Amino acid sequence: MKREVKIVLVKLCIILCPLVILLLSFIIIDPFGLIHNKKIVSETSDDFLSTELYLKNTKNIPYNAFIFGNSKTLAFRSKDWQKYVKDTLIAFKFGCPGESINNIYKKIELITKMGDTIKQALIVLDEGLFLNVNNRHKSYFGPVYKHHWKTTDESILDFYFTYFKFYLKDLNFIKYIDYSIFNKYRNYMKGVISITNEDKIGTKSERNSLTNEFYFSDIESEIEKLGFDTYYKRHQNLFSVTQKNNNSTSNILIETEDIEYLKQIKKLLVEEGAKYKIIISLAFDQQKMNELNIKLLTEIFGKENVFDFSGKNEIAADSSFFYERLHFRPIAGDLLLKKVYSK
Amino acid sequence: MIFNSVEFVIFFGIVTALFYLISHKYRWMLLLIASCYFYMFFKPIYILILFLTIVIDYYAAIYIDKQSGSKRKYFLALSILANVGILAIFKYYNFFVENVNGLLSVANSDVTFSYLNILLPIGLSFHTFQAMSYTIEVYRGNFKPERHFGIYSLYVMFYPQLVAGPIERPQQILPQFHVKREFNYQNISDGLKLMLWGMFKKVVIADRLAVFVNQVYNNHTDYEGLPLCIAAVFFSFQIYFDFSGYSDIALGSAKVMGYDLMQNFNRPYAAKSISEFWKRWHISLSSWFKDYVYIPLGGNRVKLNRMLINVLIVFMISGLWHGASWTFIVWGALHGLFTLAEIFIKKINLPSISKIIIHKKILVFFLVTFAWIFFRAENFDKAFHFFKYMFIGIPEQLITVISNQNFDRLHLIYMEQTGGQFFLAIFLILFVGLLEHFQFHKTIPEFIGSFKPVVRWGFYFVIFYSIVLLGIFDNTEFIYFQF
Repeated sequence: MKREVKIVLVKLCIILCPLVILLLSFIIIDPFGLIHNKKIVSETSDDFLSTELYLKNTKNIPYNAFIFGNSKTLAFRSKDWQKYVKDTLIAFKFGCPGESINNIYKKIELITKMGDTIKQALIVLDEGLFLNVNNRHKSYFGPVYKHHWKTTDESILDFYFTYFKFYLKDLNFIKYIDYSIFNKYRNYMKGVISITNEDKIGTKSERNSLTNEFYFSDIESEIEKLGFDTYYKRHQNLFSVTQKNNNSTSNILIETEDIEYLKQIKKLLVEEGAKYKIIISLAFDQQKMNELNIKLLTEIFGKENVFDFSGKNEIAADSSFFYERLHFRPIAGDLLLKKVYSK
Repeated sequence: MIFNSVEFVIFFGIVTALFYLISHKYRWMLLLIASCYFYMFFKPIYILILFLTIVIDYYAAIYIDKQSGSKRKYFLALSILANVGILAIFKYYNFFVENVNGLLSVANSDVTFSYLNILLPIGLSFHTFQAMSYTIEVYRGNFKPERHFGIYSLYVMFYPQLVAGPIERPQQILPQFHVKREFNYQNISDGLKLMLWGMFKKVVIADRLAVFVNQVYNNHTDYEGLPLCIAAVFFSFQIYFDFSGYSDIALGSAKVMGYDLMQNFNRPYAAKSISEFWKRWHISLSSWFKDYVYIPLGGNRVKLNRMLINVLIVFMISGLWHGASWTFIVWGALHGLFTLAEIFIKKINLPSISKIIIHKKILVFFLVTFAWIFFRAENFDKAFHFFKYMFIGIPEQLITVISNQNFDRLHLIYMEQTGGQFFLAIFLILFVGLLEHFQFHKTIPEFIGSFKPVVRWGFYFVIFYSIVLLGIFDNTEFIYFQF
């Protein structure tokens, strides 16, 4: 029997050997910064990096203020927020691309589990967070929009397995191994290795290691140096929308599952004794969020806590408040906070 | 947990290793605990339902064996009622209510019945049928009741076949649990080969075809002609590779431990008639219906008109078993009608449409594919859209596809996927088709084992690394899990 066991094990080892080598290369190269976070060469999950940073910092930093939402939260900076609230804020920006309402709920749950008190909360909402839109959107972008396993029902194994699959998919591992050995970007690596900024702006963003806030210093200095008009002309393709002055109202509605999560979010925030504000984001095309959604949000969170900046307004009408059609700048975020807290 | 997951690979490795490390005396316990864990991975609370039916059937069988005369029938009836009752509540209650409410609405009544807000326990249809086959076989005197409660529980809950079969007979599997299994290289080798092949069929082929099929079925009003035809054909292969893939993994994981489960598929698309198709497709279910429904109704021994009704009833019940929806019943009824047509043709000695076997096979495939449309469509609107539009405009579409002026291939042939993915799907279907053609009557392990070592090892590497590099692991469940 021992001989037979050995034969089975040897044969399994022979078959599995290349897979083990691939797995080791994945661990060593760690292109998504999931294991040792040395050099991230591929677009990775901002939510994972944010949550890991929070879990690391919260042991020593008594956070008491949190910003939730999708990538549009980059416009809301804690130093601007502090101007308008009396409490001393020790803030953490939990916003991330591809965020969803149920994930915001899970994050608030995580914060309470970690022992932090939520004194102040900002929840920046738009339709991109709704279940029906979110699921469609995320399916196109692979591992970039994955949430940290601590805020989902996914196991840690499944989480890492998704990235390993992406590593293997379309023989991507060849590109990662090539770049890792030769440190030279080649054309065939496009779409996999993300260290050039040909298609993107903001690759020289700085992540604050305490607040997790991003600041696109390169774009801000470009705008400051050249003026917004020149910046706009250079990056016009990033601003293109079918209609800047969209008079329509969106027909996307919040689904039942999300409504339940919103109620649970409210419940948790009330239990924490938190002061919270719900900010419905600016839209570059000035399309209004559906009235039924706004009504629902005011019913759940209270009229005094919900601020709708969708649709037509002087900030959304001014393109200079935007980096591109999806994200607005911190100066716009500051203006919104001023309006929110002056009421 | 699903077979195509990392958790299952780890679970299987640990359970198998422990199986051979511990004494035979405790193996039933290990397998039972492992099966409980496997089942509870889905929704833990539902194990109580399983436990309830196990207790009822265990004692029912003992009393059936002890009693004599008509009292035996009562305990059999109790067992069947308990199993069918649980199935009726969890699977069919809402369907029943939906239809009653519909009828009441037509009759302008204000009365409506409310729905139950419950999930279908996974594998319910399979393990209730397996449990019923046990008490029926005891009742018929074909099997002595299992006295060991743990081993009987294992019969119902054995994890390789717990959630999607094969539906075993007690005579085939229960005695195996009593026999000590030694570590046997051939069992390990055959089992792993089957699992590898099953995984390949599921994650490389079935889930790849699913992308095309889902694109069309989820957006059916955007398509007519060629894409509908291609989606219908792709679904025929998707469901075969999905379910036979699952069955291979189930058989393989049992074989590794030395247990033999029944073969559930035997190259069904090689069938030359519908009745032959049902001897090759989901064999465990079709034989269950034959032995426990068709034959008790009279089988072939009754008058022709009664026999024809029996055939139709059995197929419609089979359709209903698959799902609580009229589309499944229609799917079953279609197979019933095809079978009736064959019986009728044979009875009146009509000459067959063609003596050429390949023509017969193509005809059977066409009929089966036609019926699968009802199986896959969630409602009649969708199914009728297929029938109404699937042959519209094909000649013109073929011309535009050849010229590809407006990237017509993307919509008409590739169904919004890439050409590479489409042709890979076609290649994989042909690859497995050819393999199965040359397989003849050998099992997959025997067939692979007959290759020369270099070819055999090359095959292992190609199949394994196809799974690793081409497999789609988006946590897609097996189609038959929903039943």
